[in-house]
Amino acid sequence: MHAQYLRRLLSIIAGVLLAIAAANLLIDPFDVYRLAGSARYWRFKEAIGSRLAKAEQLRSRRWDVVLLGNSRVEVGLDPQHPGWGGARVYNSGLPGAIFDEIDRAARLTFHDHAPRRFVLCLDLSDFDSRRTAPDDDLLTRLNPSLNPVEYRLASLLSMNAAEKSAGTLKNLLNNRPATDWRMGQMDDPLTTRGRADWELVNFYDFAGAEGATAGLTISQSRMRKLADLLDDASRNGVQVDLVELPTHVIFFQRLVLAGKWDLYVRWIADLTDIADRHNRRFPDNPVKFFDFCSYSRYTTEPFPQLGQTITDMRWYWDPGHFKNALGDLVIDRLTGHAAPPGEEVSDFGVILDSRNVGQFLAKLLSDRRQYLDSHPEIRQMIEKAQDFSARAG
Amino acid sequence: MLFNSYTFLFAFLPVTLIVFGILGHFGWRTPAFVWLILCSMFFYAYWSRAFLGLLLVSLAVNYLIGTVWLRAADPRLRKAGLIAGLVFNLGALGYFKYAGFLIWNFDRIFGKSFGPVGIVLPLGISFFTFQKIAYLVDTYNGRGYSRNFLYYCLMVLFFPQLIAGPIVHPREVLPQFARRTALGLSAKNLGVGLTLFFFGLAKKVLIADSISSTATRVFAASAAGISPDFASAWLATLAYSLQIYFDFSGYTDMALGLARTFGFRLPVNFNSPYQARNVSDFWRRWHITLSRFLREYLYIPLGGNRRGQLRRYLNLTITMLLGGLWHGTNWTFVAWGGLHAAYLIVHHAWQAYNKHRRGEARRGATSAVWPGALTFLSVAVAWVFFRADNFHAAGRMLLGLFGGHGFDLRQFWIDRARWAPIVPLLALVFWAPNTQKVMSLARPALGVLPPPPSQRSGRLLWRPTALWASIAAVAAIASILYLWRASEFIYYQF
Repeated sequence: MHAQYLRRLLSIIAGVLLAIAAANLLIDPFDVYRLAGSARYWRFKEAIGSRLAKAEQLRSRRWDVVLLGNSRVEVGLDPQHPGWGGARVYNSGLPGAIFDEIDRAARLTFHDHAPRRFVLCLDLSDFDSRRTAPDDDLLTRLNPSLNPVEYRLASLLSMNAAEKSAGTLKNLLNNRPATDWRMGQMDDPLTTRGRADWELVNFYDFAGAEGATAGLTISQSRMRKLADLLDDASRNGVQVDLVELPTHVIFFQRLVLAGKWDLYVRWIADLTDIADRHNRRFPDNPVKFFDFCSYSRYTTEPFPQLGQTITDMRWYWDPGHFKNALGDLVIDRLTGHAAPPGEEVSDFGVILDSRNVGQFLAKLLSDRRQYLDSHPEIRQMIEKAQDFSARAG
Repeated sequence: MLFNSYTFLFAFLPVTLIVFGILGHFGWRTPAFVWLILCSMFFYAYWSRAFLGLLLVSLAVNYLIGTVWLRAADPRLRKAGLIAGLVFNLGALGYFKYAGFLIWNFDRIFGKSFGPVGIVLPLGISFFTFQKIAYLVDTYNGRGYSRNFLYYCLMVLFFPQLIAGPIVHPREVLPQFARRTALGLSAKNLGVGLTLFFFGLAKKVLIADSISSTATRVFAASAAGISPDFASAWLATLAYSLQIYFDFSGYTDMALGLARTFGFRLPVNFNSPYQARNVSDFWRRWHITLSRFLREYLYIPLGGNRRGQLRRYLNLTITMLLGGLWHGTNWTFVAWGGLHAAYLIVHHAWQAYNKHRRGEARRGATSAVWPGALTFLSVAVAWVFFRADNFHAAGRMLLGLFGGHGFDLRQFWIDRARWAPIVPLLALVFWAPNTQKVMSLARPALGVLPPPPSQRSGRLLWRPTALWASIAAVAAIASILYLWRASEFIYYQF
């Protein structure tokens, strides 16, 4: 009687788990196993844009160019832009990333096939010493102390994997690719997030959230990590473009309100210094540091008034997240590709080094003052945004 | 290594069981014991190889004291041996667990900084220290435990109980190891053991881990200075009360089940504590092996209830304060113990008053519902100190619980999705039989008796049938599918 009980118990468990594991192995929703044939279906895989899958893509697939950074990269830079000239480009932008994760993501590419080029997009917030990596990271190859056995078994036997496999199977049966992701890029955040007022809410939330910036300090260990990454990239034959992506200029206003303007200026100067020192060590593989934040028609686009229910900004989802249209201009500048008629990108994206950084930052300051003088509504907007944020909770 | 990990379930456990079964099948007792000891050492070393050394040194020292020093003919020598053993064990516990806390308090009192104390707490030290103290005290008192080194090693190292109990008493396991019956695997032990293990796994993974975020969200906000409203404070407090019960009793079920697969029975540690009718009853049902240790080795040596009411209350207070401190190095744990001491004193005083007023005959005449509800709410409120990061956070939570931050009842509706699992789980812990009772026909653990013959036909009693095999298999499969998000057991930190 007990023997029969034990046989039943174990056979039910083994049967069901083996079936689930076999399905997850064949469908491979996170692209962990890459059995013959499974790669062909990757565009149907629902979880292909998840952190877990991105880490796998970086580690095991061959890329020519890897776009590194946080959600601003994920949302705004198109890996299929013609400027890349047919190269295999992967957008590895990780929402909410800090530099430790970006560093880890870059290093994953060294594992098998180092790419030819990194576009390493950095934000001040990536170096905010108060911020830590999201918990999602613990379950991916971005976690340096990941237990590989647990990881492999979880991708076979977890409910998470089973759900994503079911979704992938459904996409396959309906012959409908998982459209949210294109080579790591989130296609349309507005649709994906499913909120009609996403743009407006985030615009004001971001603009008014000076509290998020008030206690900010720069993590020096992350800055050292950046210098090490640049050196290791050169040793692996990877060309690196350091990029500060465009941000709407009200971001600067937020920094001023939080008393962090000097910190920002010092951070830009430090980045320039790191790039310069690297270039002295590796003159054959110099790093270029592009800054897209200076005052231009692309960073000073008129913003919606509070109370407008429909926003129609050409370049931005919110002050930090720009649309593909602006991302395309960034890529035009980075790759030397011709910009669309009517757009001028030669001044958009200044290449900084120790010779011009002082002048650049001085001009940034004077532009900021001038812009504020000519746009008194900015103060009003910030006040409204603060009020809006306070009321929102 | 965690019980709730793929590595444990699919590699460590099968290999350990199969080799143990083969050795037992051929009647090789010594190799079977050695194998279990080696596996247990590997289980511990998987977390930290360095602390395995500490564990082994402690094991050897206690064995020498217990088998040589405490068996000396001269009583003074024996007493010196006991003192040396206690100093050694409590010294190690004090250094690893309490040195940082002590220095932190010095810093606070004298306004100086002695710098950060980087002492890592060895996993399970609170549990295995108590077990060895019990071994030494009992040996000193003349209990004739076996001197077999292998049995002793297995008693200390046996992996199901090594990290977080139950706090096994030598008298409970040494005779089982020494029994001359066949070792090895049997279908009954495996069936009963694995079923209990899977029920425990489901309690941990499917219940405790699912509701942990409900509690964490509010307690973390409270620690960050946010004052929780009435509904949120109650939601978090009830969620944590359930989380800690399902987490720790789930762990215990797993430990008991694992031991049973090897043919051994460990003592029961939980007996539906939230069904207790009073706080004394609660402590007879919650973490039973700790309560027993504190009673036998602290409360009774202090004088217990033999020296009058006042002394009894003092002894209770000392025992509960130290019991609180045993859990963690934070004054909030001491406050938790103190609060329970206060509950116990009030309960005993009330009992004495009632006895005096109504006489023995009226005892037990009151309904079980209201005393039970009051006991549960008192215990739940005390958990606030246990869970909160500091007194400020605990204070904010307590104010919230008693309406100090307003009675905005809309929050109940806003958080309805979070309340949804809490209500049926409360019903489960108040009225449903626990896993030990469900499995009582198989006597899965020490202290679990089969129900009387008149109650043996109940549908909720486990039997080796196809239906129960399916229920256990569903619990196992569902738990394994959710292992990817599993976390450490709460009691691992103690």
